[in-house]
Amino acid sequence: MRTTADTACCRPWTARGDTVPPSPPARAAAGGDKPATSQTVRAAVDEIVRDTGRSPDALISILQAIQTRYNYLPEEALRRIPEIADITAADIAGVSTFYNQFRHRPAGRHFVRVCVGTACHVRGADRVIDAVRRRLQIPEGEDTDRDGLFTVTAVACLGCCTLAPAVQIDDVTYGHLAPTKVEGMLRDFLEQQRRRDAGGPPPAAPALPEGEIRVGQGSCCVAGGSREVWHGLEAAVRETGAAVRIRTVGCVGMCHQTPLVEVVDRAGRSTLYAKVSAGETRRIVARHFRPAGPARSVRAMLRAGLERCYTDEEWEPVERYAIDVRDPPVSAFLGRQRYVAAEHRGEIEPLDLEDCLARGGFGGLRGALAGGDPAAVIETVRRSGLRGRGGAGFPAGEKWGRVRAQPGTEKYVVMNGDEGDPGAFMDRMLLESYPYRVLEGIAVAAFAVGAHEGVLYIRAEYPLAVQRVRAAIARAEARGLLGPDILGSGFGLRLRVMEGAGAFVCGEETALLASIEGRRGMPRFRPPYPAERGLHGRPTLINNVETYACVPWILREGPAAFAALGTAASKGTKVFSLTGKVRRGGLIEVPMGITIREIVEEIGGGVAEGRRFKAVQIGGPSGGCIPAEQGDLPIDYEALTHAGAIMGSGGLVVLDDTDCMVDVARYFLQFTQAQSCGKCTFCRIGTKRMLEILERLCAGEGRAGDVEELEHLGQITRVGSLCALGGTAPNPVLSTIRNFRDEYEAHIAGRCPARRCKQLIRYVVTDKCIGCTRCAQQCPVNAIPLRPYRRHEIDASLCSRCDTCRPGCPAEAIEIVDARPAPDEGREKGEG
Amino acid sequence: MPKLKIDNRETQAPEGATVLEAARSLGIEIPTLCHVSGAPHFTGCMVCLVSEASSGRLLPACTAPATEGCVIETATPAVREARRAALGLLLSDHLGDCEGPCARVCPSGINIPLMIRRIGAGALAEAGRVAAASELPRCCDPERGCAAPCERVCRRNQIDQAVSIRLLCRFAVGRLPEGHEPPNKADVRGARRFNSVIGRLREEEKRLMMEGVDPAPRVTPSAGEAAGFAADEAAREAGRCMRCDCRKPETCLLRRYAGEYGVKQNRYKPRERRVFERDTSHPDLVFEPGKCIGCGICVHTARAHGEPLGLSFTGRGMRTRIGVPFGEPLSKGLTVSARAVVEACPTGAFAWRGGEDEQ
Repeated sequence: MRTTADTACCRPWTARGDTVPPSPPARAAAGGDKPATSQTVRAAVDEIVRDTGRSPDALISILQAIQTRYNYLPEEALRRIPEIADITAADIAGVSTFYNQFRHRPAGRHFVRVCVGTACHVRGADRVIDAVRRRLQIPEGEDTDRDGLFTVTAVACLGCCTLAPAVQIDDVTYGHLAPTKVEGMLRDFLEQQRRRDAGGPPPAAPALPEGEIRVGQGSCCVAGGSREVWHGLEAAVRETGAAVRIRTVGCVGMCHQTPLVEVVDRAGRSTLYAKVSAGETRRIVARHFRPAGPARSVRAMLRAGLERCYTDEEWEPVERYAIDVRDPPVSAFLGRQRYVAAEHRGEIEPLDLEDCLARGGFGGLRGALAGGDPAAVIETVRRSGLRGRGGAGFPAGEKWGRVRAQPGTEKYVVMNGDEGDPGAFMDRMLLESYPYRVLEGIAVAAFAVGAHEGVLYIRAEYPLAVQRVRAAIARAEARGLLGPDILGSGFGLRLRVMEGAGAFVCGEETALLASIEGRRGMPRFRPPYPAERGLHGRPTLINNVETYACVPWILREGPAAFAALGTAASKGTKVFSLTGKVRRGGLIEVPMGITIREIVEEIGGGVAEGRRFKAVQIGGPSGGCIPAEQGDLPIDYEALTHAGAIMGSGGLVVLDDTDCMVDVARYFLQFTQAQSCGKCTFCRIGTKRMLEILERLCAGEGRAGDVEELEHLGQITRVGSLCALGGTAPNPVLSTIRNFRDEYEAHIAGRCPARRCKQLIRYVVTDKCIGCTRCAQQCPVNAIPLRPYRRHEIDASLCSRCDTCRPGCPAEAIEIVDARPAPDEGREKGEG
Repeated sequence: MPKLKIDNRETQAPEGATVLEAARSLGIEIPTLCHVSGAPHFTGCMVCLVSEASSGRLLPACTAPATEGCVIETATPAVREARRAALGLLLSDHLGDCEGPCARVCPSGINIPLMIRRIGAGALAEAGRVAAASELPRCCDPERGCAAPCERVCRRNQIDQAVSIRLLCRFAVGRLPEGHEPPNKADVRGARRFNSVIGRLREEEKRLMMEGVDPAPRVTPSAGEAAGFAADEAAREAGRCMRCDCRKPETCLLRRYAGEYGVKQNRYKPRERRVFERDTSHPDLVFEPGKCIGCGICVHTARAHGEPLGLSFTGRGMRTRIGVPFGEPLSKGLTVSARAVVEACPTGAFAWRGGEDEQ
């Protein structure tokens, strides 16, 4: 599956992708053209600093702009900064090496970013990255191939968990990969490049209001190919001459069915098509909209017929993909949901301000400003029971009240959009699909607390979100919905977007503030809380994207309506990204209090491929695993915390019986350990020591006492760490020990019950082998000698357990067994 | 002026004071590594943890504000356990010998590396006093004899041949000034102090450790083994010592607290020990990253002295390192603040080339 993402994705780290020209020096580095001279580098930095300003705050933006230009940070450019800005050399060295985004070495011509988010991990991302590196022959410790064509990096989460495992090459996303598909992916990409160099797509045709086709354009849909579908629809509409308007709409939430197309015909009847391919667009258009004239009709039919003859792919009837919203599985997917933050999902065009206003957008802000009583707004939020959606669940009204109560007139509002959890993409969806709603929530909050300036901190990995939010701010300002005098009330608010630079720890509020101030994103001790002393030492309100997105609804529908949803202490709805081993993954918004089983089974359709539902991982690296037996647990802050998980920001990864819980714990700890800022002893070293034990366990080198040592280290790291990142890092480990201790014990004995840990398993060919040689041909490490018509054998010493052969075997003759025979087979531990 | 209770003693702290300051005003000691009075709080080492009685929460005393009515306990088993864990974790990522291997095994407890350095510097009477600090060295006592474990464990053995420690020791004792009373035999050294140990060196580490060390083979006394070294021979042999011991064994706070809290170096054993590194790019000081605890005091100190380049943290997490921006040498980073940095560094990471014994 492949598609072209929005233009902002073109370069991996586009700070101001729309204004900066493509990066010729990157090509120079790779292609051997003339390198940039020191004079031009210095001049470029001077120009950048003129744009960003010379204050210490600007450092991250300056570095991002330099990297956009050169694809890495040339030392010459860095040395120029202290000469022309109020930034020290030490700050530059510290900041440029803290954030993942920044490179100090030239990169290849294209970036291959392999997603290693949770959903991708449980679907074998490690094998994909191995395969990519093997295919490109990248030596150990390097990240770029010899020709300087591709730079391969692992990224925490691309936010298209339903396409897992996913890989992004520049602006093209490939989904559902496997080691065997890597070769084809790289070939396809280069082919696309050649074609693109030859000529661009035709301009869009004017749309006429006689029926409407809506195409989902959230990142999942885009990754699923919706841009090509859009072009296909456009061409088809032009061919038939039908007067149909084609619109892009935000995320529909059914990410497992992307790309999604909704057709509203003249009579207003709506039909929803899922998993649409570009080739099917003509049929869809023809089904609903009659061609304008007889000649056109014949031509259209001829075309369709010809295509049917000459495409060697089976032309599947498009009806098979059309799913009606009233079909049982789909209505279960959508029916149990309640939309507050994601209201009007799939109906509104993200940046269409008129549409937004027509549906009551900015009504909450209008009302608040007209009322002129900030205290009343805070009281409304307080009565709604809204709690922070970023993870900790602090009551929002309470926080707003504290900021308001602070003396002084200089206060800030900050939006925390540094959604870094691997396996979570709620904030991305909200920002991409409902930018105005989030802006309205922020504006209401700013009015309530008395702030006139705000920063929206958004991960740089979400270029589409950054682009849309920037555009939305500009349009809202133009309409007087933001800016110096909002709606003539005299209340002013200036908002700006700051792009994160790739550090998960910046989701912690004090680290986030440090990052906005242009420093290393290291948390500090609280108190003082940001409400008292935040950005630049001023009282600052920090809320998560989803928290702000709930505010307009609360103001419009009233606090009681919001409080009517949910449980005693957890009110309203919560957006989750439901991924992993469920049939129907995607973004869901559910009322608090719904049980885990209801989410997994009714909304998600149960685990895929008839496997056994084993556990859900909630809350990402700070959360924990809840076993299937506790599936009746309600979604509620306290209940989840009590069960050893946390609400977190909303990642919900479903695990089945092929998932190893020790491996899952290792996976999350590896993530947090790599993301630790390194400031405090417990988080920096404690998590490292824990990770080492888990790595030993997964490698079959476990020892008696390892589990107890993990518990000791986990406990001490939890209570001794400076911030929540370290304090919650042990959760995935402690919760799996609590619920799956037997799996840990099995690993100490050298067995992986889920047959996932590579060093504890072996691949064998059974009697079912028909000698077709397919496995031998596919094996990337030549561990299977070619023996036509005879049973094949796998050389365990060469086998890299990449799992290429097993799914490819037509006779299902390849099985995974324990590497080490069970003790009752009479052999001692340590063999094999 | 908030009133609070620390270890059951009431006190009144000035507005804005920390728990640490309040405790110190009561004479209650709380260990700290990353804290510098007057500097912004770093809150990294976590050895100053104290317990808030009502919640049982552990707080870093150096940063937690002394608030009205709070009740703090600084010596509960949980607090001691947490501090011990913090120190143990720091030591698990620490690479360096507090004492040289020779000194660790010497049955007479002689600070052999120091004695050798004194010989090398020509301070012979001083060398003699070091050699006879606790008792007459066994190797000089024909009745008792000595199996010379010092020479067996000498790191130089891993390169070519051990330093002739016994001969040097005898040489030093022979230079004791007139009238120097050899110490009482009963006056042997007390309890062993905390000692961090590197263990076996790797090839690249050997090369690094030999930098600036005389590569010549062992010196043979020209007058024969029994007569011992002549002064010039002793000086040459002293030049073969690799100086394994720490340059700040007495002032290192990590060692002190590790001793006080009874921490075992291998309590949290890393899967792979870190590699020995040494930066000698400054004429006066030596930086050993293996002894750095990432407290940032040097970064702050260099900045406070207005260094144009100064020092900076680079990297993140376990890969955080201290370095001069743009990979410049330490001599460029620390142009005016070398003394302050060495004095402020709580461990042996930043030390004078000659070490604290030559200050």
